[in-house]
Amino acid sequence: MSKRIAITGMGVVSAIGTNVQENLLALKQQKSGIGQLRLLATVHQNFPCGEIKLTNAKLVEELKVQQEETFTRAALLGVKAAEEALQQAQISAKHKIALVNGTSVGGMDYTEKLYQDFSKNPHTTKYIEAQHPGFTSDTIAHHLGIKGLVTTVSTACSSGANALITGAKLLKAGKVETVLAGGTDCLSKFTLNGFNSLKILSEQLCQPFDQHRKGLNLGEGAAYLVLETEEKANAENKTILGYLEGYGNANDAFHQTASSATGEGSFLAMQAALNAAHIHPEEISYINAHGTATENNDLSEGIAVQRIFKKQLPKISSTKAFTGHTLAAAGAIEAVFSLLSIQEQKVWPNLNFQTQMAELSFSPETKIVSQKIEKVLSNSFGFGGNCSSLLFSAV
Amino acid sequence: MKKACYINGISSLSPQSTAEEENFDFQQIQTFQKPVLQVAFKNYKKLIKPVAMRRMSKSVKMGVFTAASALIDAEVKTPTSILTGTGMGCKQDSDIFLENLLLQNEELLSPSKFVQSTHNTVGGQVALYLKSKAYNFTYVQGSASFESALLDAQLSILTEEKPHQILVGGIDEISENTIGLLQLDQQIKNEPEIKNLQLLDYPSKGSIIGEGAHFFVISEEKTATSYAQLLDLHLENAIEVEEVAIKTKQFLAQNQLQASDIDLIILGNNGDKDFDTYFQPLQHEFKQTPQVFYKHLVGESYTASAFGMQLGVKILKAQFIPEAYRLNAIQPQKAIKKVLLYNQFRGKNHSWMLLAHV
Amino acid sequence: MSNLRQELKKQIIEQLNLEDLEITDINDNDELFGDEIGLDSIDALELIVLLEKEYGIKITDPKEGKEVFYSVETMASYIEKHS
Repeated sequence: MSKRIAITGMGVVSAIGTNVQENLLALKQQKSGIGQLRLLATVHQNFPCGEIKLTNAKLVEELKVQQEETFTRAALLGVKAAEEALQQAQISAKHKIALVNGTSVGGMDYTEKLYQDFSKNPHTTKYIEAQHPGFTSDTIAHHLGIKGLVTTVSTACSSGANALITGAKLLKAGKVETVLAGGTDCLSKFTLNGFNSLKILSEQLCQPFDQHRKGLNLGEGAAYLVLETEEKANAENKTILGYLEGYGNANDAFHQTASSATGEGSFLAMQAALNAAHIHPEEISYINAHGTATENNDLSEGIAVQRIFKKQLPKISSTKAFTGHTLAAAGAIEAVFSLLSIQEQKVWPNLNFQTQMAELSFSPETKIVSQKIEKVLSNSFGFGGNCSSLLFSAV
Repeated sequence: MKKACYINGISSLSPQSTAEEENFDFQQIQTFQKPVLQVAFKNYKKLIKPVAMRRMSKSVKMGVFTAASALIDAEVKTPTSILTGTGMGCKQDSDIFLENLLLQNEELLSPSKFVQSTHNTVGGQVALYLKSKAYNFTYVQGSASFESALLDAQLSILTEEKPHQILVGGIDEISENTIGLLQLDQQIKNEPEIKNLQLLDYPSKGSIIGEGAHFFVISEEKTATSYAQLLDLHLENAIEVEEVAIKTKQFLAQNQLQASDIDLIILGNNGDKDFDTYFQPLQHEFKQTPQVFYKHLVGESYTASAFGMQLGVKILKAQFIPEAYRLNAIQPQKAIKKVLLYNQFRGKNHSWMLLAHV
Repeated sequence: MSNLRQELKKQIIEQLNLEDLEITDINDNDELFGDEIGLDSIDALELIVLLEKEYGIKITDPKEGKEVFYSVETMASYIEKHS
């Protein structure tokens, strides 16, 4: 009954690169993509961000987007990453696949740009619908030629990870044969100001799991994985990049935005992922943490990790200091980084870390560690107490 | 052996609710003269403590209330998962945050409004209200938002070897701030006065808009008070008018059914002259079958079809088709056993649901 | 009783949407974040916005807010000191 979920393609665009190879290179060179904003027009230029230095115009040209297609930036980034994933998985009959997208703000970049002008410029009214995230998924699906099952998970910063969970469930139930799943989010004034109103943005480069961390840096990006059953991938002689062996989602049920001090939600999510995969905690070689560098998240997540792994902690790092926190895309981008970790047999470093947190018994890895890596846990948590954990394994 | 999905509890808040009573009544019909149909219900205190309500926007209040009362209806204390679908989330607070951001040039913004703007706010607040640490997903996919959540419920029952009590619902609210934009975009009809009961007689673009929250408790376990069974559901993102009848037959065939097996069809006609054409093939195909519609009574919204499902479930239980909902005059010739629902919005996000009598 | 304290109570009720509270329900020395009024971390951020909007006083470190927002009394004395 239980089918194994194979990953046969992946694509990513983030502040550290516009495809998988560029992202891998930056990870290996320990080169962050976070810095001064250049494209987003905001008064808050004091906050460094993981901005992708590709204008919408450049993306439109590169992706050969037709005039009549209504593209938001999240859709442009999404198509870019999705095309890379589909190509690697050699998917040609796109009408047969399902798209499970994760996005939080969707087309908010257009909404905030045009909100006061919709009534003046009739040609902009086609973007009125763009405010709902499904619009961005529809656009991506249309451009890729996906016409069947298209859906969007929107659970704030765990959306991308949750899209992969829904994708896996669709395959297990035999609803579809191939799923393109992941997430996309672009920088917008809406999110930048929102996080600023919560006073959790750092004016310096973010320092996940550091005693003196001052908050997060926002980022933007997109990543998608092509999921197929192992049986189908083997029958079609496809190269399997890894398996989505287990997953878990739980709710912290503590506060609308803050995580509980005991990390209950993240604890339950990690535990569920391990249980689903029938794997003991000591079999995990690396945890790609959510690690946003906010005071609250890193403490709560750290405590939860200690509760699961007790004294035998695997290597742990957050890659948010490379990309910034890419919200709904984070879970998908970090899924790609987890698979790259397995492919390269390397633990990615936690940049900018200096001092261990007083409340925790561990420090994240600050340098690349080469070691045997078979199983990786990737965490993603979001507002509304939403906690998810994905478990990837080597072939 | 395919596992079944039984609907064991329901609750609904819609423009058909009164100030005191949430669930709609087959006989007592609320009428409207304008294209904006709001939920008049006020009695949230029945289930939500006032102190908990202070930061709840309308959709959170509607969502938490109907989630809680669906559980009571099903006599279930703790759900095994909480699944929500919403087209726009907490639209009112999102719009206020956005407008303040633009007016105040990105300064002095209220964090509460931002916090509400994430689409899983209702799902998260239901979890807080129930103190539920269970699996909690929110789907946002235009007019297939609720159906996506329902699909997750079905997937959970099909793929997981454990007992389920799944809370699944659809929620959307009207935001006064953007009614003008929806008129501009021709989502709302421009006629100054619209009698909602005659919605299909206005040959213009757009529809009337509504809001509401509709929750269901779904389990593989049939109970003495089960309302109905969800046999299956199907989603298609983009299809042509010509494909509607074919896709419908394919969906029925997958469930070993044909058109003649359907005792009632529930359609999502909303009076938009450009897109009601999508419903015509089925109105024709099923012309000997009783047909009902509902958007003239609750308005269009991305999760209006969740009301459609409540209607189907109630008709199956009552074995009675309320007059105000009829789309044709055909009377049922036998017991109503199988109900088919089809919906779409502006030619996108098509959904089919199949309900059966238990 | 001071006008500033009364004014603050009114503003707090409005900004934080404490619909069921009256000005007379809040005592000057009531612990705002304790059992009496029951505010949380998001309310603290709302109070920071309130101070800046109404009194032009900026608190940049949310931790500093904890002492300032202990009660209406502490808020009032902070405003008196800084305006």
